[in-house]
Amino acid sequence: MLMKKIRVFFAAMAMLALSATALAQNITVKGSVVDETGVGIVGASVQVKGTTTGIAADVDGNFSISVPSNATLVISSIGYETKEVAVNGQSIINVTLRSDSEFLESAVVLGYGSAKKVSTLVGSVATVNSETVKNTPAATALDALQGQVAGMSVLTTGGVSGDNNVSMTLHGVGSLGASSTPLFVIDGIPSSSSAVMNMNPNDIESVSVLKDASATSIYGSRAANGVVYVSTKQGAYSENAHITLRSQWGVSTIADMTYYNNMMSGEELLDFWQRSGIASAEYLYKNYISKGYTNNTQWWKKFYNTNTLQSQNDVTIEGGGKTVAYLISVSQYHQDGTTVGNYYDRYTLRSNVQGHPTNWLKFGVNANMTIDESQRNTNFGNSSNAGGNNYLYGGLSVILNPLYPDKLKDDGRYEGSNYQDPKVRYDNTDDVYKTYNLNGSAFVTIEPFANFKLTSRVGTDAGFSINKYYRNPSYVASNGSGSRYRNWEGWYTNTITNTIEYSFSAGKNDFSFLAGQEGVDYKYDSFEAQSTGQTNDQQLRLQDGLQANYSMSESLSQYRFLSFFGHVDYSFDKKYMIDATVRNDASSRFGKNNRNAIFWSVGAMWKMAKEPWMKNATWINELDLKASYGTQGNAAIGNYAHLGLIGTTTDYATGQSWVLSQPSNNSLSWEKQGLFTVGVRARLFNALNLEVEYYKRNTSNMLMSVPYPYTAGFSSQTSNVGTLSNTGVDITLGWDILRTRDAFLSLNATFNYNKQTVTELFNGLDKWTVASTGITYVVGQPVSFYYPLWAGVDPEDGAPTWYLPYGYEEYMASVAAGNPDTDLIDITRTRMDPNATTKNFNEDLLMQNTGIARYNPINGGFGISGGWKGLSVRADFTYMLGKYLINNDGYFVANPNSFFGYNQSKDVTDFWTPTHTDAKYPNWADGYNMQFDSHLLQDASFLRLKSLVVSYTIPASWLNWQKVVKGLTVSFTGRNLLTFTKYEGIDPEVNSNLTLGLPGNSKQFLGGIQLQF
Amino acid sequence: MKKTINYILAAFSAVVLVSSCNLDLFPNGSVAYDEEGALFHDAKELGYLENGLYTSYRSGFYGEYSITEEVMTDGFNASADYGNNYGGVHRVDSDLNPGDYYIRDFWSNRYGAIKNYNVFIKGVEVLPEEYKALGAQAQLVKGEAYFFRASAYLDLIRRFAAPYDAATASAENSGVPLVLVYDQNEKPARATTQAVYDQIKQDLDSAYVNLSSKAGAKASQKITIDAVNALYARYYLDVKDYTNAASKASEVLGSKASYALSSTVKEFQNEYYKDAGTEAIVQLYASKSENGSGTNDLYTYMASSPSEVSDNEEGRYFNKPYFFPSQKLLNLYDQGDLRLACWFTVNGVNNLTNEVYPTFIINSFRYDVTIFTKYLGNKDLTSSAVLNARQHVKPLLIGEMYLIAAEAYYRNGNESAALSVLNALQEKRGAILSSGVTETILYNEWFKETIGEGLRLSTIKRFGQGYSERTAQAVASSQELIMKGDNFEKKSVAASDYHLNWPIPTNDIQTNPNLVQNPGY
Repeated sequence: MLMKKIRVFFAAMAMLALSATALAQNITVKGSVVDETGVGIVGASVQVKGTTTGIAADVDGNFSISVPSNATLVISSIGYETKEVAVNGQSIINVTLRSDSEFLESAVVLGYGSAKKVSTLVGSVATVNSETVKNTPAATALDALQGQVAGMSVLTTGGVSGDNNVSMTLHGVGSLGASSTPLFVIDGIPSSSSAVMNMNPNDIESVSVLKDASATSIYGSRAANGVVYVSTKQGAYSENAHITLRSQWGVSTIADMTYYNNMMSGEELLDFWQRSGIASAEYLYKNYISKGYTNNTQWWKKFYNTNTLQSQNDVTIEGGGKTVAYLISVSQYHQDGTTVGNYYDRYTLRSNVQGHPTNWLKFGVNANMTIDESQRNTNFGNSSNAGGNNYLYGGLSVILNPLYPDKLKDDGRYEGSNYQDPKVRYDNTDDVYKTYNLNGSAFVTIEPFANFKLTSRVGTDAGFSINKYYRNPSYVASNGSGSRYRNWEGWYTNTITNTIEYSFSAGKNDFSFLAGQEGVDYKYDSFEAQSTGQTNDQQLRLQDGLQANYSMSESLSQYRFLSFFGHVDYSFDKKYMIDATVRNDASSRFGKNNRNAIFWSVGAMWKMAKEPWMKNATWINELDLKASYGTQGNAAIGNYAHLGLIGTTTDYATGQSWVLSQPSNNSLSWEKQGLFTVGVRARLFNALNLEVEYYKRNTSNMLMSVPYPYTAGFSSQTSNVGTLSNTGVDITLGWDILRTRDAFLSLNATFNYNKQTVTELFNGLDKWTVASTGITYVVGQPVSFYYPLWAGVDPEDGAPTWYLPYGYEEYMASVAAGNPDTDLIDITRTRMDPNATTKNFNEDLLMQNTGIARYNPINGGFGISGGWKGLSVRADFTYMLGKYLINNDGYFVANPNSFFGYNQSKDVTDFWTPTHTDAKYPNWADGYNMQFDSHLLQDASFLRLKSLVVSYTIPASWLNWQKVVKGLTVSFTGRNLLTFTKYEGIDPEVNSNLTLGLPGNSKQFLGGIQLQF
Repeated sequence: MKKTINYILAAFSAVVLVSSCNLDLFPNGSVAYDEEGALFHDAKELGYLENGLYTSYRSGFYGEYSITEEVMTDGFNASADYGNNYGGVHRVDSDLNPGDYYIRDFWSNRYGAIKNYNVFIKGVEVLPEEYKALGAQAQLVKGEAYFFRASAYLDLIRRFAAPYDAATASAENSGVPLVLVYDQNEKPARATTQAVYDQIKQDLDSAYVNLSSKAGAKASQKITIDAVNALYARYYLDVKDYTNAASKASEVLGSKASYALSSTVKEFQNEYYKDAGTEAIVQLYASKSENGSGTNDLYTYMASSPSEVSDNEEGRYFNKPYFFPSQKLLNLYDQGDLRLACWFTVNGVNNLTNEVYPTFIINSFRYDVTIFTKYLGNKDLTSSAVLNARQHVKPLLIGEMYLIAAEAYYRNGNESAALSVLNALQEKRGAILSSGVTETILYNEWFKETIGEGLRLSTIKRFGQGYSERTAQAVASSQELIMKGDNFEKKSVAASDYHLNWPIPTNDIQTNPNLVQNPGY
């Protein structure tokens, strides 16, 4: 679909470049240019060889051109093999162009072998090409994948610059204990999402998402959550060097201001306190009005930065000689965060070089080096630390009291309120992370005889990070004692892969074989030192602190994987295809006896459109049926979880203390998954691409932290228990609505429905509540939110009420009888009976199934792209439906009795009074506090305009006056420009059960220019 | 072609190289635990394990491990600022349930420590022949492990079971689970109260033998024979063997270590501020960097953040407690009682530090309420200028031995001996001497002497008492500085109230089908 669009786009470009002047002494040749299926190729170029004379075919592929009778026509179109036809006086020439598989069909690297054409893949793979990720304003290209791949849920949690905050899950969450993150592979080397963030998005050629067993099982032990394969751009052989320079500048700001603008002004707050009866007029007079505290200070504006600078620039030089091809790129990215103190700077250098010095030898080196520097405001949360350290001066600064004056005192605090100023804080502290990263690989392939290839590939994802922190002793919050902290951490994942590949054909039978081995060696190493007690702002070294307050520590962690695998493809008549994979993995994460596991898959595809009896259905261009089944594993747990360990605990009398710190689990092993997929892929009317897939993932031997009674000594242990299933449907749609010489318009959409079901828990339990999360696992249900259900305000007396769960009355009777039995309450069902409510809040007794799943069942996206002459527009939307989130911020911003003295949302003014009984909130005068119940569990479904790109490429003819610049494109790029949601909190796009103190997603407006030389 | 072969060979050797890679990785900083092998290999390792036992023991005192029962009973009122800290246990309402975190923590702390004691005891029992040279030292440490285990089970049975009564002690599921060997998969049922007390006795007997050479010393950092006797005294008092209780308590009182109650302000300062007194039978190690126990900070909470202080008092430190001592408790002390003068700060004057710390709590208004400052904090244990309530842990104090002896004599009918021990205590503390002994006098003396030490619940239960209201200080009440209502200062708990036997935590009820919950929950 995406390829098609580009093809049309280039065709339109090509037409502009052609001049259609007719020459004398000619004959008129008419004809049509069609593809292999007989469909006309719009805009195909028909050119007289050796001249600039030419014409473009019309919408139906027809052309008419006046040419010398002895001319040779060169007929070409992007995406097809070029054909030359001698005119020889013919007046009608019909040409069939064969599709150029290398261009039309992106080749996809599935596993370890050579790239394969998409149309011949038995496995299910969705590919997003460079057009989607290029120039993305987000720091990581992964953000741009939102809504692009059916079944892939992509969420960007919060808007902290430099935060690796994109989380991805394919086909639901498949494990309750181990990670659900897909395996990232960059140019054949297993890697991580942070390595993708370390890349310049413009270096990416394509991102392929491997979805079914046929595609993923070759990655065995780590493929249960799917595989995201990132290919970087390569230079082309025998091509003149060209240089591309891109520069984008613009602003970044908070995506959605509704939440902030909904806070009360000082005047409204005073009025509300008095009107609601929360505070008396005398009290307010004494504590505020008489002191002159009647201001309207919007404190949060001091903690947030709006409209900050963002810039991203890069230069790519690519080209190639006969035996060597290269691509070199450098890039810069700068983003100031939306919170004071937050920024992210990144510089990358990529060098991709490949060569084939002889016809049997090929080699290549891809290397990406990154330096980045970032600082985050730790009073705000980020994707890995909910809340932040002191979130009243961060994510919760919206509730700071607006009545206090905006008068900064010398000590960095504000008069009256004593609020700390964030800018003064950052003048006196520094908490900078600097990271140096190398991600690269080198390979050599030898082909001693045709189609027999030996490939050896080594790669690394290595880096180190330095964190430096200080706090001035003169800063008021230091109490005269400064502090200094330094940390160094380094890591590498080294991978070696060796494969043997052979393919051959015998008549209509095509075979290919692959066998290989892979070893992965990971190590993380860190140390840190800290001291406090520095007394002078100029002397902040570690040794300037008090020796008694020195502290230091180091840590080290390792894992290794060793794997062997094989893969067979067989196809008959290019119509019937099957493949099979087997892989054995061994991991250091498991004990000797359970270290090895075998994973396998089989898959089949039937290309129905190639059957003779389908020939008449010309409107069906392609129709593929696929099915596969296979197993994959998940080992994403701690590195040493199976070992019984004696570790150190707090010293006693300055001597080391040893205790049994981890129980051994000799039976710990892989989490396993069985994945069945069946699908159909079709191209119809040469304009409509449709792909529908049904899948069923069954997780077994699930790696979970299993709770034990405290009497055992350890209250949890990682074990293989329980089963879980995810069942769903992926739909991908692409439609070329319009294809004319000058214009194109196409639409694409993705949709996924996923149903998660817990099928078995540990210890024979049928339910388990995860403490303090609102989350409960119940057999037969998806992972769900369990909370007391808010039943609104009683119109009679303005008291808050909650629904009683099933069996509550029976439980109360058992209490009255002196034999309380909480088992009488059935929390697994949802009871919202208006006649069974209570005014007494009790979290434990009122908890029941909210009927809301933790993970949203529906997600997807849609986009439209169009072009007219040099102008092109592309808009991509993403949506999540059935997504719910506990708005923990809401507990603070709409709870005026609990947080008296702080600002509140305007919503709280909708409270009960004798004359306003249909109120959202209770009668505040009675002192009611809002509780942690389902009123905080809010619908966070959303629709977001993820990206909008408008660009204009000026006609090449305008550049003819000079020879340096060959192309010029100006563009506007926007990210997160529109958000539609009912959610009341800061940002619905948070991948967590609850959100607290996070800055919301940012949005960007960037203007850009691209020059080609 | 030769080159080709070289490449193939190179690739092949790379395969071999990686194939032979070692997958037996082990974390640094840890030692492998081999259940059947030697737990330790030399004296140094044995020492580390001994330290591990002491760390486990020390971790279960002060902070929530004593505050929970103190605020559950009648010695304290929640301040208006208490923010629902210890809400369920203080209100003794439906929130004091199996889900309560403080009660869960107590349970999990003791069983987590018991795991360490069990692992060590077994380790010594299966010690391979070649390490027998360590035997004598190992037996000594094993004695400590027995002592610790006895102490842990005594702590559990006092809180999670009904008080010992020979008539009912053998009822099924009346005690707590007895775990004597570490086994992660064991799902033990509750033993009988009798069985738990029998095990405590057996462990104490073992400790007594192994530690017989460890003479007592004031503020000993190690477990001594005096400590074993002190725990014996507790045990015998619980099982109503008053002869032995009195005898064991008297043995400690008469120890050559000459433990002595503080009887001057200076001695109180040494004991309760500087942790350099004469009252502790055991005083566990503490230092600035080694923070191994809880802190009783909720009684004092020094407000160090200047932003909360009104302008005219900026830069000073304030007490901002979550709990105030009740007037009911304060009324029990005589005017001249040094415990009143030294363990409480009245009108901001603190006699331990000779400094003034105004009490400060609501909306910048300052009120001088009497606060409980027995654990104000040792200056040597804080690196900032603010005292943070950190003190050395003193699990056994000589004061309790006076009380056990007096109570045991009294219950055995020997009132004169009881009175003489009681008067000895009162005289030292500067209180008016009782002229006779009654159950109430003894009960009140326990309250006054052991306030804050985490002995309140067992005292109430042993005396068969409940409590009626927690009458608050007048200023706290009239200025709305405390939480008020039927579940706060007006709270009454009957002696039969089921909450006095804490609930077994939800986690264990859910994960161990063999457990039976206490009645009422």
